[in-house]
Amino acid sequence: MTSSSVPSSEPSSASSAQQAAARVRDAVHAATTGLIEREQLAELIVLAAVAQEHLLILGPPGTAKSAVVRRVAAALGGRYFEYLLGRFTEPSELFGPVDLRRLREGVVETDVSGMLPEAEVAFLDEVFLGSTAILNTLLGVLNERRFRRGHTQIACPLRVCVGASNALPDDESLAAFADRFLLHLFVEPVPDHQLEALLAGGWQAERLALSHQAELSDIDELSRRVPMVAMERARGALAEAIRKLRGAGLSLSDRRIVKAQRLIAAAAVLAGRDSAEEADLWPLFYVMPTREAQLAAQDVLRDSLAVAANPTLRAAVEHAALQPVSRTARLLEAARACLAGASDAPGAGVIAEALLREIDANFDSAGLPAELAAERARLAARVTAAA
Amino acid sequence: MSWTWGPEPQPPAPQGAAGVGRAASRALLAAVQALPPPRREALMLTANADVLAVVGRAEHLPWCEGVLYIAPREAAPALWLPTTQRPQLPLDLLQRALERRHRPSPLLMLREPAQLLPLHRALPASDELIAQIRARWQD
Repeated sequence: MTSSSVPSSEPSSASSAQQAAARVRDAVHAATTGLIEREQLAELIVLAAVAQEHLLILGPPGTAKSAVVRRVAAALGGRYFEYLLGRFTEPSELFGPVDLRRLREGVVETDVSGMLPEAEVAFLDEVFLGSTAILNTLLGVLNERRFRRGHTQIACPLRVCVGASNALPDDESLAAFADRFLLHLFVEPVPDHQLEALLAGGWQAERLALSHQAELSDIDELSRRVPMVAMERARGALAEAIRKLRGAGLSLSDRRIVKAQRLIAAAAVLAGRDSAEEADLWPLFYVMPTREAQLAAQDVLRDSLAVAANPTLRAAVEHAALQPVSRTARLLEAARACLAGASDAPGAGVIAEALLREIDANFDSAGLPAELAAERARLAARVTAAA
Repeated sequence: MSWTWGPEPQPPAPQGAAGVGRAASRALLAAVQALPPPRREALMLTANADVLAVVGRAEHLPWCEGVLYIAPREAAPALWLPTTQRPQLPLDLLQRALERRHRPSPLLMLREPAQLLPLHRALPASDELIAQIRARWQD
């Protein structure tokens, strides 16, 4: 136990948190099998759920947003609600119809069975098209996890809500609503060089049955540990990072700054630690509200982000920090998975060659970490032997 | 003006490969020749005495020991560089300076040995072209 913030009588609790983090990692892996370049999205859903915050995805339609959220929900085993909002969507389509039996008794109650107020993981596509009535009710569900309508007032079991839209809204009132989603992720269509992998992966993903890898109780277990994380070491680094951002003209609302601490604590918990440090500051990148601000922050915070690491959320860290540490970890993991399989399995040679190509395109021999160099040598021996 | 090469902080996806030096260029040509025909047909080749450049999408590129992966950067689309290294200069200005001295064409810039290889002469990787490159090399 490294921190005094967690009682020393809880070693088994710490290891149970690490086991929960490992199961969550397996769930993310299962959920994104066959989906190209979407690990980052799946990992951010998990980070948001553990921090009890919400995620906004911005990007063109058809980029597998709903597929990832659906698969993460299935892998975590949560009750899932998904809806594509339009300008004419009625509140009842999300929250449930008025209960007619109760209405005859003169009470306006909502029958929420199977609707958003009962969901544990929710995905709302085109979220900014919702009417004022919908967005106001949603605010309560997102912020306080309470659904209030007429006489109906219920606590919502919502762990995470993922909103999606093509772009951030210009309208000021909608911008305030967008601010309630603490994490912002900008997604792009899969790049040209990965189209073949996209097609093959999509084919594979459609045929794969979704297996249940973790439980929502794992998320809850990790979530419970978030308020207990010792933040002293990270807080100074966070303040310094905010100062640097302000110095570069990048400001964050006070609400986002304060709430970013929850994400940093959740990142520490998912990394298996009970005290946050500078390596856990990377979620700050996703707290920046616009794409331009995220890119600028990447530059301004390059030094702070250089030490970022998280064994459970590698793709999210790699994207935020643009540093080779997590790229190394990801390539190591992929190389070991490839080498663990039979060398004569169908496609094994192509996968090994693709990995060697990726390793050599990312590291020259002087910069290649020793551990990765060893796996590279094994892959090279396998490919050379097969040639 | 003096400048140096440095590591590429964010290596791009490769769009080509280069075999630099006698051994690496020959090994890369052999690797191209060994590719299945549909994959090989998607590649373009050009060479000089000690360098072989292969241009094509990442998934079609071969791998062999010693190969250098190459790609242009967004700021300078006609200047191809190793994916892991870049000159410590604004690349758009470097590209413009090179265009003034050489005819406008995609150029591959190599660090060691320092040289520029024009890529506009690249041709589809046919059996004939591979044989021609071998004949020029007189191996």
